[in-house]
Amino acid sequence: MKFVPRRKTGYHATPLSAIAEAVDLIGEPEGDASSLSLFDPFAGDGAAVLHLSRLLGVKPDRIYAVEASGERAEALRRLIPAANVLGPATLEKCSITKQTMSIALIHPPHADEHGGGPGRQAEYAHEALQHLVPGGIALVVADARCWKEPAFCNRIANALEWATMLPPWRDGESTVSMLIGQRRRRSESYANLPQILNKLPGSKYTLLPGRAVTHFVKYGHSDDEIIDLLNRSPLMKAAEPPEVKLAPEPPMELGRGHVALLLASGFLNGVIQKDGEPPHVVRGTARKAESLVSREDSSNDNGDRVRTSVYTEKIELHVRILTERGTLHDLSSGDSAA
Amino acid sequence: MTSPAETPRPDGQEKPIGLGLLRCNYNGKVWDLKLVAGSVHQVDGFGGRRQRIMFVSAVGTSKATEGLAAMLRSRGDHEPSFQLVGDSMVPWKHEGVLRDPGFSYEVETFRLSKDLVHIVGTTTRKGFMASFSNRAIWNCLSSDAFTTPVLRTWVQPLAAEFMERKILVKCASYQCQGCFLDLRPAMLDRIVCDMVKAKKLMLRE
Repeated sequence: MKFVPRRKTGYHATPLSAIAEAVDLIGEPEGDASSLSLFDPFAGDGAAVLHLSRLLGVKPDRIYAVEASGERAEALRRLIPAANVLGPATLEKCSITKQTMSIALIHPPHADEHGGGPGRQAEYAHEALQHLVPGGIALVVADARCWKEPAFCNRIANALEWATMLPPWRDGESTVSMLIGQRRRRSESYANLPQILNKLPGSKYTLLPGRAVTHFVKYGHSDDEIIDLLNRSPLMKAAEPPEVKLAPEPPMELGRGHVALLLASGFLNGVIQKDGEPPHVVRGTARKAESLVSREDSSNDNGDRVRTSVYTEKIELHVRILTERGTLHDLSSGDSAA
Repeated sequence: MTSPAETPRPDGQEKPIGLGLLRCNYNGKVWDLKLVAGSVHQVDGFGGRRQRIMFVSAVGTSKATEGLAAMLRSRGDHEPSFQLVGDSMVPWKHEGVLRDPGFSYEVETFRLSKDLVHIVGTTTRKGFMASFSNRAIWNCLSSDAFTTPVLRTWVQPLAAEFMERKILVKCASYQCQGCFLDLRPAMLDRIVCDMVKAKKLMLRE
């Protein structure tokens, strides 16, 4: 049997139209455009990050993406071969130089997905924001449930200087919105979302050059990889129904001694019915029992009394018979138990 | 009332699995492993009836799994406690779970990769089965702990009777079907004899 990761309830891609709307709010890059870097910690199949990179003119080798699903990570590698992709991997199990990216597209798993929920989404988004250069641009995508959660909003707002909420869109049964914001240039301080919403001094967000990403590696295993590895573990059988040992067939007719031996080892357990007699069930059990051989009292040089007991182990054979009338007979002791 | 079902699975069949959290707390130190499967049960022990860990299957680093093995084997003054949490798809949470008092654990480990070890610990308490199935109950009844003559075809009605008498109870389990059979040899003798007399168990096919 093969163990497979539990199926997730859905995969939510960022619509390309929403990305285009966000890019409309981003001005010309400051300095050399070739030094722009783009980070997507929840990249999916890469369609959104590729679209964003094309609109902003980010070179494919300056795209840094992380994806938890092995299949989608492969699709992403095929789509943007020059991109730096870690997958299957989760952001928490990656070591990436912080404060290096010009822009980040942050679309953590939704509340209805495996590993999702407002608390987790806030943690993911906050962790991803740490990789932006001070003044870098964040595009945070979350469902309505998160945007209604003050703890989630405050966590995002604490890291941003200004923000703009873009029009929401429907994704299945939920409403999803994108927030565009600029990371604080100074150390983080307390803020809430209304304090920073629509307070951008100019009309456009400034795109800053990225810094050298010296560290972009994955450590540890993702959950999917662990489940793949578990398929090799013989210990997975511990939670499965055990195998029942079947009695082997004797290669030749049994002699008198053989019958006793097999009865003792439990191979002849079962129903026995002679012609013209009612059936009965027989069971033979051989167990080890301790018995006292000798006991000796003596005293040692200090005058203390010492008792030495010698025990031996011997095999005890129980042959019990259950009749059709519900009576148990113990052949070892010759009495009846019930 | 339900009776355990045989669950033969053809080779290659896929079984979905998730990874939960196993938090170990021992002597002021706290560390985490990924929980693969677990079973807890309320049994008598020092400190009354409290939830005890019966079966645990987890993955973690070498140090984390060594720590868990030490916790399961420990007999010191500091009583280790565990927190077992399911995954987001299977909500399951048991906090302050303790080791089974007076019993040891069979601990097995298997190295999955350079830095990842799979560990399985099962209580040696007789009657605990990590799998609620006819096969597991049959293995238990045919072990040398009992001498009562029983037939394999009787397992299903016997299991139903055990459940009715609350001798066989399901443990709170995550990704396994742990159960506990609290049965003495004399009790099995009596139950089998009564059921044969009542024609609930037939010697003839």
